[in-house]
Amino acid sequence: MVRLLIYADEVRGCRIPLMNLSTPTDAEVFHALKMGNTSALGILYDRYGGIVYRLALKILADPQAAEDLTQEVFLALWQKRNYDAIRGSLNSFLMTLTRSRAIDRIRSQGARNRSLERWGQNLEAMPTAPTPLELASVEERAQRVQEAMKTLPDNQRRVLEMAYYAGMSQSEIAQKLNTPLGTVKTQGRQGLLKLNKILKDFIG
Amino acid sequence: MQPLETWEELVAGYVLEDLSPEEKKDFDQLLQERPELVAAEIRQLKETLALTPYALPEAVPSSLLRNQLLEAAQQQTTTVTDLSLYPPRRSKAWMVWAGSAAAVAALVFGLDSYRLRQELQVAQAQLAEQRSIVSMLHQANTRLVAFRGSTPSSKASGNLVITPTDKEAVLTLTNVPPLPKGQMYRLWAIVKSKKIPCGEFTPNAEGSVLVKLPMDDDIAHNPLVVTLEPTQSSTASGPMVMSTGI
Repeated sequence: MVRLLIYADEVRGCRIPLMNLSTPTDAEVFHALKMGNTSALGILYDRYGGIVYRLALKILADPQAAEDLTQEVFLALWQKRNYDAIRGSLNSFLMTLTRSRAIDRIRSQGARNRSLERWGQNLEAMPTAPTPLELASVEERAQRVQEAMKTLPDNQRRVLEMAYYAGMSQSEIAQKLNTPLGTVKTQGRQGLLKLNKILKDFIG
Repeated sequence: MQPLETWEELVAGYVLEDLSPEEKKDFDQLLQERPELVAAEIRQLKETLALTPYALPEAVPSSLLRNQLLEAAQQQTTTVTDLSLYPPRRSKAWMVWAGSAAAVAALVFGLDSYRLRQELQVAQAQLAEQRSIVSMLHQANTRLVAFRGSTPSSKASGNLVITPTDKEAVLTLTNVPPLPKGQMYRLWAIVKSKKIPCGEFTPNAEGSVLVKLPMDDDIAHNPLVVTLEPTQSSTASGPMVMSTGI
């Protein structure tokens, strides 16, 4: 609310978000980016560059390759300008893009992973106000997610991590863990549902 | 409708991409029965999954990466902005030439070169941009704010054309000095002694600028200034090169 009051009082109609007076939402900063404002790209990099790099490094296990991919992801955002807030958060968009491209790089079968880039299709809900997630700092997000991950049984967490970071199919995971496929699927799904239950209010 | 646990697990399976063919059928049926509920759940679970990287050990990229990114983006911007820069006087004839020549060449010689398509796209983009600007100028309530160079030796001048109903403004400037490397011009509105960013631009080789900016009429009643800023900076710290002098 305070943020909106500041906006109305100080901006007086300028539709470029006020980067130095208040904290604009990701959607507002992205709007400025779409207008060709490189400062907006800088702001989004400051917000998400670290986590994009962290994910890229986890999957690629190579700092230089992870930096290259981080730059590639943000340049893709800048060039294509195809993020749409109606379809989900910018965090989700960037994580999907990063994961998809990173997994494409570590696997030869790129075609399989291209489907991962079909981010948020068929979605209709529209976030209208900044969510608790958007208002939280990177450290706060890390703390909340780490706490939530700790509540998962080891086997659920392991299946989720193998699927998400290594891009392994459930049958590949089942083979690797020497566990029945049905069990692996249940573990992954229940793990995700449990995480969601804990983080639901945070996501908003 | 299936029991709560089952349908939620089906959606989780869809998000994790592990549905068996039988489950896929059940999922499709569920989607048909409750499209909104399923869409909301998919979105929610995808958001949750996208949060998991925050639990990874902290790792920080090189501090140089930010500048490299903005430099690379800036280079692309220059290319994109060039499309909307004020074209030289011969441009109209050139656009007609580019359009017709491209069409004739493609038809007669069957040429479909990348370069030709690029030229056609540039011509079409310029034409669309100019039509849109002409339509703005035709509006009765369009307002003009004059810009002058801030130093006596500066020959830079131009106008901001504001159409309140469209909440857009067109900035046209001439004789703008060429940009030093790694810098760009920024437009600011001064509201209560604070500079509000209103856009950024790059002049073409002739020192001309023609850019359209989103802007409400209210903001343009305040003094406006143009400063020279480093591309990676988002604050107003560089020298003032032009102002409206309101």
